[in-house]
Amino acid sequence: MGKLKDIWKQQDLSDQNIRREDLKKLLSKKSKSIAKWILIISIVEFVIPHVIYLFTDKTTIQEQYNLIGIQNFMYFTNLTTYVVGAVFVYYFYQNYKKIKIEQSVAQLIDRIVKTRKVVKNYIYYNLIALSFIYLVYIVKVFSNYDIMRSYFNLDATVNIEEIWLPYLVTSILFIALIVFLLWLFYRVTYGYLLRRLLENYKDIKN
Amino acid sequence: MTKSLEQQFLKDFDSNQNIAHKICRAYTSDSDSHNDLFQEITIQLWKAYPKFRGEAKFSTWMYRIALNTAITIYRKKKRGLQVSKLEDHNIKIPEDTYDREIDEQIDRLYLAINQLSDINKALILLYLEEKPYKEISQIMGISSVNARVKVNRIKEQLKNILNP
Repeated sequence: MGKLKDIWKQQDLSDQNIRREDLKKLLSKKSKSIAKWILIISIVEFVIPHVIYLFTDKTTIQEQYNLIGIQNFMYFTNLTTYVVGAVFVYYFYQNYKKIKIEQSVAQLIDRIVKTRKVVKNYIYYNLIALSFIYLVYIVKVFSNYDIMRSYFNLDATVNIEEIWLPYLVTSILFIALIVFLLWLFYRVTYGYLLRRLLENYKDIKN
Repeated sequence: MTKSLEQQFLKDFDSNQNIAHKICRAYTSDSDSHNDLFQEITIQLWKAYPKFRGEAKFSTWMYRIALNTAITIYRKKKRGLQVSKLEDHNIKIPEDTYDREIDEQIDRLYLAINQLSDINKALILLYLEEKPYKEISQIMGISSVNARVKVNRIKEQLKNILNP
């Protein structure tokens, strides 16, 4: 190994050195750091559910709530979503503020992983909340034939008992698919940003 | 004020440029990526410089930021090729001063370092730079004992790569 150190010392880097005037030009260039992407993607993930909600037809949704009889439940669910969202944003910001390039390598990786974990938990909270709301929907709709008839726009000739099970299975599969796709989308963005980081995290911790 | 800060930074950075180049060479596999990473390191150093108050040596501070940039916050360009191409790093040297043997040995060493993991590259780089374990532990954020154990492990790994 001593020999390697000797070889190392003999590196001549003078040909690579950049002149001071050129270094100065570099100072005004834009950073391409991943920290910026973590912030942008996290904000998008925080905002997307609310943007989707903004564009939904609220009258139809309200009518559905009234039909199924879950107005109050949905009112509190929405309220909770905003409160929980605000708490997550607060924790995210607190963690993000602590990401500083002059920390040690282990500390920096740790901080970034922790910050992303806040977003991860927020996404999981949303997926669980969404599944729970769908579950309430299903229980309410499928436990009352009248509600089911109006909810699915079925006319009087349709025998509800015959279609009950296939409709239930289809609804559950449909909901499972939506939740799965949302989860998949999140895994892809999470993995895209953090795969290398998590490998290094394991590496430095062991 | 900003002008004098900039002058001071350029002076400090200029005399330690080697550090950045060595890190770039260990973490990239072609001159394009090398320049790209070098640029990012320069920007990160400059952004952090106002907070540098000389509690640590400039070089220690610089290692920390440059390695953090290379390991954590720099997004590698998609290139598929992991192993360094010799010709990319071996230009601009005039024939008469060209010490072929030493140069080949340095290339071989970098090729071997290139095959290590991101964290191990940092550790062996600091070891080859003859940094004491205490300083390595401060830069990496692990204990001195752990740093020593890891470096010994990487030395073995490097030996096996160089003499299979």
